[in-house]
Amino acid sequence: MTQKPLISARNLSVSFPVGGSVFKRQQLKAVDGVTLDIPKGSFFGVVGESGSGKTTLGRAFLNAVPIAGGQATFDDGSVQFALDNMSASDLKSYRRLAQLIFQDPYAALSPRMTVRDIIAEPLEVMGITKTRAETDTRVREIAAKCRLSLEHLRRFPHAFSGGQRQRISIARALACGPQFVVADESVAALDVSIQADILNLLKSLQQDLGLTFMFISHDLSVVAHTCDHVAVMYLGRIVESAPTRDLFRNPRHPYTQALFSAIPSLDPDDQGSAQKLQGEIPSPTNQPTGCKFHTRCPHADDLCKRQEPALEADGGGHQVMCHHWKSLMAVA
Amino acid sequence: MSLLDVQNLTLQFKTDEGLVTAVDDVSFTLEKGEVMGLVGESGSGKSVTAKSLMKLNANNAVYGSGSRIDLQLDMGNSVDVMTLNRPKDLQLVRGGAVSMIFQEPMASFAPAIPIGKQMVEQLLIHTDLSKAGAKALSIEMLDRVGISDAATRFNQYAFEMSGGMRQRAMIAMALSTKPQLLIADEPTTALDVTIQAQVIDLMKELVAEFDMGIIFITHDLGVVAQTADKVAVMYLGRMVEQGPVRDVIRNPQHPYTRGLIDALPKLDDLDAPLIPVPGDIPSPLERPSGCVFHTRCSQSLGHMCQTQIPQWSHRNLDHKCACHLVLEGAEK
Ligand SMILES: Nc1ncnc2c1ncn2[C@@H]1O[C@H](COP(=O)(O)OP(=O)(O)OP(=O)(O)O)[C@@H](O)[C@H]1O
Ligand SMILES: Nc1ncnc2c1ncn2[C@@H]1O[C@H](COP(=O)(O)OP(=O)(O)OP(=O)(O)O)[C@@H](O)[C@H]1O
Ligand code: SF4
Ligand code: SF4
Ligand SMILES: [Mg+2]
Ligand SMILES: [Mg+2]
Repeated sequence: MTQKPLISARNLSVSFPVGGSVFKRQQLKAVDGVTLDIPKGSFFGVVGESGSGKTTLGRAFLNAVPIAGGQATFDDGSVQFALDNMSASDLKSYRRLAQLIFQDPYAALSPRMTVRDIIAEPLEVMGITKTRAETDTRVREIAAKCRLSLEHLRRFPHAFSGGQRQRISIARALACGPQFVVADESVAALDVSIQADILNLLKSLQQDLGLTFMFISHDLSVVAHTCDHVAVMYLGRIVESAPTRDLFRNPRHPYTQALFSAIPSLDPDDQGSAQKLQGEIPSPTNQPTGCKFHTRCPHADDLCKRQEPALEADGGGHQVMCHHWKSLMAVA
Repeated sequence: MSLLDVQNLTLQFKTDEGLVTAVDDVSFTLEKGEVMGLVGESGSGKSVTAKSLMKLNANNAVYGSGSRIDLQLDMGNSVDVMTLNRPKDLQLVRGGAVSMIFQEPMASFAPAIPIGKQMVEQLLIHTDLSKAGAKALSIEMLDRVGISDAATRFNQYAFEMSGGMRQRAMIAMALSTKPQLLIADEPTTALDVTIQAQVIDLMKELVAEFDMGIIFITHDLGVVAQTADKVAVMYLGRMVEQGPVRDVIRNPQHPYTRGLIDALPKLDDLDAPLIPVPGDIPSPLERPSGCVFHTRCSQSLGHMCQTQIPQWSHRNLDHKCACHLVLEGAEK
């Protein structure tokens, strides 16, 4: 992991206005002071509580939501972008370099376009291909890589199942030849066999084309098998971040530990190990003081309620945000 | 008699390219208080089968003339869902006796109406609750699926929620009418595992409390192992294996079921390659003759598998599989 970061964030925040009337409007901090580096060519995993800001963080890196504070940069060695300060023409060139594979393949595909047109659209809109013949060649190439047949290309998306649609949106995202791809729950809708197939495909694309992936997923075993590095989010913060093996062997944050213990076992008789979290799931508009996890943490004490822990790093790229991780690890 | 008795369900879609067979002669039963996991390849017809139970498929659907779906209603009398045609009759099952958590949570909430209002409307149609009572119950259900600040979230629109919150709101809505049969199509894919564990516990509680039957469609075999009493495996519109969860997961009989289990990313061996079932899913327009799996089966017996549809063979009373190889083995 000595590679230079392709994407880096320093104290990055994103907020949304929420609440009914203009007077009661509050700011919801979806991403709250995130600092992180995504090395070029890596498969960078992001896991965490639902609603913790994973999608929003990904959208911030794609410049699809306004950045409220901090910095984020893209730097591939030849071009640089300050994502928190983009002109319209910057944004146009950046769209080619950074793409999203959607979480919800149903919402993502226009029902009135054929699969061929769906994949071709970004090529035409961005002016990447000049002639119809050129577009067709490109579409067929990428479709074949995503294992869509010529017959599929003529059909409309409504006639496809969830898994097939996801392959269409992957083909669409990769058609313009991006360098950075945010894959948001991209394999969640796929059965395990096609999932294995798509993961192998994404990995080989990463290696062949030198792509960098931000891979957002709830499936921890998938993340463990595909990602080089994993960051764990809770309520807008990164609470732990480490090389994959290190994280799975030695989770340091109590939330990460609870997460790993709740992975459903394939053995129907093994139901006992899940460490059930008690307590209130905090609301993002009314966040707890101190450590944001203290309302559900089995190890919380007074210090945790008063003071927010800092993100502590060791020499090996393992970072954790917890007052007590050392003493907790010593007990375990 | 069973809560649900599906006999010889066959369903084709009229498309420009001809008739597409999505469900092919599927039969199964479900008892009160029983949870059935439905797994299988993307596009194998799981969602379409589930939607048939409420006759919710698109207008181009054609049901086979021999199809029967007997559903027991609360008074003890039963109805063949296939014979219901008028909207008034269909309301008996849609959102009444049967509730469905859809795979596409974005599509199941109207975008311009706050989610709480949609929950209340549904309750007013299907229960005798007053408006205030419906609101109170809706908020209580949102709270029970782990949505913090339920009273505030009640007034929000679907786009203001994270993927997982939308999913949980959908679950809350489906459960609020206390149906006899709950169909949950990939209900936990967008949830982190700690919330998933909580939602699964809630479903188990409701099964016990209301003697509800649940059909649980998922790709996550771990979730199946932890929730289901029995499992059915589908491939290209056919059911290829059925049985108690322990039997199917520990002693998978059908080569496709074995392929699914082998394709799972295993946490105890991160170096193991992910092995998809080889080959491509045939187009539904070109369904293979004989055993629908023969084009991808590494154990195919040749001519017999290519020409004859395999009949069920029983490993024990409840565990059965439709495969020539297994049938032959049993006879030897
Ligand atoms: N457009 C929006 N308007 C208001 N609030 C929003 C908007 N988009 C996201 N949020 C809020 O921001 C927070 C983070 O949402 P985000 O979608 O990033 O979560 P997530 O980690 O991707 O969750 P999930 O795993 O459920 O997809 C949530 O509280 C969500 O309700
Ligand atoms: N309205 C329709 N018109 C034509 N074909 C359709 C229609 N709806 C579904 N199909 C086809 O029916 C088949 C079964 O689809 P279904 O959505 O049930 O699959 P599934 O098993 O739920 O897959 P997934 O796991 O990907 O959700 C697919 O081949 C699909 O393309
Ligand atoms: S800082 Fe305290 S409350 Fe937060 S995770 Fe660590 S022990 Fe738990
Ligand atoms: S019937 Fe033949 S082709 Fe089908 S699964 Fe069994 S062995 Fe394979
Ligand atoms: Mg998300
Ligand atoms: Mg489906």
